[in-house]
Amino acid sequence: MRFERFVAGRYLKSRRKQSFISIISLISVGGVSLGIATVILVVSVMNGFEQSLKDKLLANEAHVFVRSMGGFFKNYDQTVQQIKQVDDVVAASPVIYSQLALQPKGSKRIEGTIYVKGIDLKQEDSVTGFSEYVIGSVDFDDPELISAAQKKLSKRETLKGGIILGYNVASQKGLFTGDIIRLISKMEPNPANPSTFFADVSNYVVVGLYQSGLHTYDNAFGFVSLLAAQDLYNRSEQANLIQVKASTPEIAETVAKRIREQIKFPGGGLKGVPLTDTWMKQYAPLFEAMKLEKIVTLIIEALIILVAAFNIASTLIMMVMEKTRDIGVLRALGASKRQISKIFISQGILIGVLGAMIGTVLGIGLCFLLDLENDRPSYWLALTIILPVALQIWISITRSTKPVRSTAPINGQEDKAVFFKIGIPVLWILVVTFVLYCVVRPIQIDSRVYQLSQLAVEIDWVYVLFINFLSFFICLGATLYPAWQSSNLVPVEALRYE
Amino acid sequence: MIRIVDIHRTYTEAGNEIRVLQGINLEVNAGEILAIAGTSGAGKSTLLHLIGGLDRPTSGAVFFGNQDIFGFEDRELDHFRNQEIGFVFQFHHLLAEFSARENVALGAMISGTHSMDQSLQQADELLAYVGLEDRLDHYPTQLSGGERQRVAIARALINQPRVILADEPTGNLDRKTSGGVLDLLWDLNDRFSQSLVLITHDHTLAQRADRRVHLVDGKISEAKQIAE
Repeated sequence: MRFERFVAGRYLKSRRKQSFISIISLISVGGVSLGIATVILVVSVMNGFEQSLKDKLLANEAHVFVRSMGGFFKNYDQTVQQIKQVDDVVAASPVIYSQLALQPKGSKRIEGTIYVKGIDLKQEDSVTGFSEYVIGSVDFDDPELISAAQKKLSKRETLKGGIILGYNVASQKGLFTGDIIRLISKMEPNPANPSTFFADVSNYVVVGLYQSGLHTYDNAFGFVSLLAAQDLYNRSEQANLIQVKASTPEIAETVAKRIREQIKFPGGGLKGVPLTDTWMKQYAPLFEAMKLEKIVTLIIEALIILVAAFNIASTLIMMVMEKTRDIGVLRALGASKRQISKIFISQGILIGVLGAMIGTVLGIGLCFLLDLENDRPSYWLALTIILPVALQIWISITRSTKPVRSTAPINGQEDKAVFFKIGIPVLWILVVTFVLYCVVRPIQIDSRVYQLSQLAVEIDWVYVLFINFLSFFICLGATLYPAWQSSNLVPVEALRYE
Repeated sequence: MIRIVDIHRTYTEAGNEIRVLQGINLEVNAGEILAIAGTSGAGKSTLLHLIGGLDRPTSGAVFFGNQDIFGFEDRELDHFRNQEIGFVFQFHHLLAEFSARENVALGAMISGTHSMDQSLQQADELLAYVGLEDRLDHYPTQLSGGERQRVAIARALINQPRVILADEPTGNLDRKTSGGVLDLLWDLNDRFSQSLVLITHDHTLAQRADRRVHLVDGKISEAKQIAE
């Protein structure tokens, strides 16, 4: 081991009673650790949130949306086939999108509106992961449910087909599979009695529930077959939207551009040019906000590490002051200015590296704990284990360490000292790990606000490496002034320092 | 071996010039014990620091062999202190965080020519030589005053320097312990033939040296070599 590292390491773990430097060193290590752990945790949570939101969105959404200026496509099958020929297009499906008023059967009033998406199940599945999120039947014409529903209707009423309702829509309205709802597509004033309306009402039976975890879909959507939707609008063989899946979500803009360039609708002029939109544009405000939030968080996190670095600098400056006479002695023994400055640089690096290592382990550990889905032992169990263990450790420390240091090491005491030196930290680590395991649980969030119901965590290992390097260099920077200060002490004055 | 030529050392404090050394000329021969005696404030320690290259003179030169040590680059001066000079201070100045053997080994570790194990092994031998073989792993706070000074002497010897500079090595010890420490220094001088420059204000002790010099107000007032 080199002289500088040897001295630096010894100063760092100094346990002299009169020296408070070791405690400050410990606080410095703690500062860096907490800084790093916080950075890793916050960034991982933000990454996880962004990624899982993206995953959920993309599982429910197409990558590119193609519309016609005229509203509905007449030969949508032909258009779908043409779009499928465009490079990097994996699948395309026709859809009818609309917003309709909802009236559960038996209710006398309209209970809000829902977005109804008319889909071709097979084609929809090729573009989004629709079927994966359906609880119950995905068959809009489920014979059992249809025939049961038809029996509930009067002779004047007809059933248009099945509907898969957003899970929360059904919960809020108290609807279950097999219940009948009415969708009102058009209301016109009654010319004979203007205070009343003629309503275009269609009956649907709930065949399944859609639970994606995305608030938008679960709370405001219903799905019917494309044919039923066409029938609802009297738009046979027509669709008002074509959803496209690209080979990767990131190239959605490129694919949209290709579609605009290569596809022409009948009619020519502006009507002939497809209108395209992408998932990125649709959710741009959300992702931009998240990006901004990430940048702000990174700045705050960098400041946290900077504060930790200031802590290191002040620790080292105090260390230089406390060790002034030692520096004089070392210079008298022949240590060069460079060697003296290296002692304090090594010490800063040791604090930084130790802090970064502990912080990384802590940060990654917390990330895993936040991401674990298992049930945890109760807080009370944690407390009943921690208290006696902590008490025992405390008693052991106070009883065992005093005689070991104050007298010559005797064989038995040496063994005891080694046991306590290794055993107690290990025991503490186990206790702290257990406490964290009990206390740190997945965080539930309000899906109405955040779309997701649980905070997801995704560790970006490159970023973990980057933040470790960053903290290393910040800590190194923090050592420069104390190192310069120590190397410029005049040996004779340092020896006389009181 | 060491030749001090017209050394002046002046400090400026609060605008006042304090002339600590005023034209000192002195030689230290190889293997001799030279006592520099004088009252407090006479400039003894300053002279010792200048001989050891810890301080720089206002004017004058210190020759080690034929080389003026103040003509050395910083790195050469550090190497000179590490290899040729061994310091023993009045208040031992052992590093509190290091055990006796580690304190002794530091000088060898600084030189970088020995591994840590080799340095510690050498330290153990020296500590055994000064009678502290059972105190190797003790920290300075666990040692008596005499033991600490013995450790400090062993530390000064680690790189086998040609000159030992001792600044009132017994100034902080009782008479009995002082005797033991001084006997050790004389013993070492006999055994290793190193030059020993001893700062003291004790005239009886100065009488024991091969040669003694009296410093009064920064000047040598009398130089008297005791016939060997």
